[in-house]
Amino acid sequence: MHPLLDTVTRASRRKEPLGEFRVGDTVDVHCRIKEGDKERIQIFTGTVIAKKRGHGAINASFTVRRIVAGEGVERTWPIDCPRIAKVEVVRHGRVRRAKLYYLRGRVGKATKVKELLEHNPAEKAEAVEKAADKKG
Amino acid sequence: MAVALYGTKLGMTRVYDGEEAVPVTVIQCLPNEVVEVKTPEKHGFAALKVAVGRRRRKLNKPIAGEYQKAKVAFREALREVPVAPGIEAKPGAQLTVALLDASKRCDVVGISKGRGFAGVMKRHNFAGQYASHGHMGERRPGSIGARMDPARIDPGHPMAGHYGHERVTVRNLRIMSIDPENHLVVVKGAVPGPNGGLVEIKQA
Repeated sequence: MHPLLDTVTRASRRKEPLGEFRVGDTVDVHCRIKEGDKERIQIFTGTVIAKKRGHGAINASFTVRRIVAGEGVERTWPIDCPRIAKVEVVRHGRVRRAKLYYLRGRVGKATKVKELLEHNPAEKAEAVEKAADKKG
Repeated sequence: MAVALYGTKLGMTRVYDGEEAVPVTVIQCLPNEVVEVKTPEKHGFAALKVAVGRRRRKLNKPIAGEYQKAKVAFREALREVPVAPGIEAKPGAQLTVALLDASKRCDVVGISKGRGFAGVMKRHNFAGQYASHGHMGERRPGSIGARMDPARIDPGHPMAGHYGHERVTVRNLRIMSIDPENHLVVVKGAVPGPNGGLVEIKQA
């Protein structure tokens, strides 16, 4: 990709960052919905199953999956989509891969299991520091 | 007043126009520099011969002479364009993206990507034949005419052959933005040719 393309897309980028979230996290996506001339916010709660960087950052997107009335529903948004107001992390998930497409084949409890182990970013940073101390 | 400007296709990306994502092509038009002025008196018509595209170091001698006469740096190609309004028509003058009017639509001309000797499915959007159930020739054209009655194939019948690498014009593209600093023109939609290819932007 040509470096000058960034100068074109800069104005289209998100002004305030969406907030940190990772694959495996359960998130609330606050989506602006237009009904006639009224605007309201709809929240879509689900598991982040993929984050894609696209060709350039402007094309980056993420996919959230949830089960609605027994039916799997996935929604994909570009990170810079102006219709998303914010993304809130409800629960961190412990996952071992970047794309959780294997969840698609699962039903019931199996879709949930993976995200039990909650982790605390501060605690983790501490552990990393300790490990570094030991080495050094 | 007709305006024509040459540039290099940098590639595609997307921008948001309000809430809507718009696919765009970015074209860089480094100033087109006038090498020669053609006049009705001398040539029978008025035009500008301009040096366009990316800079290059080497040129063969006859063409290099044309650049040197006008004291213009070597470029990808020489092209003839209509005399641009508000530009002093003399060698060395520069035609920039400022000539374009972002509120009006434009046409973009380019050389499409060459596809070599292409089959009938790629070249003419034929449907092909069944892929399974024991069929042969999934990508063949099928029947190309009747039998004894015409005893010939209709002239112009679509068949396999050379496809692409031809001059293609895309008309009525919206100009999303113009960046004079980087010489960029951002146009809605796709434009013929590969990234890095020379394209012409025309405005009526």
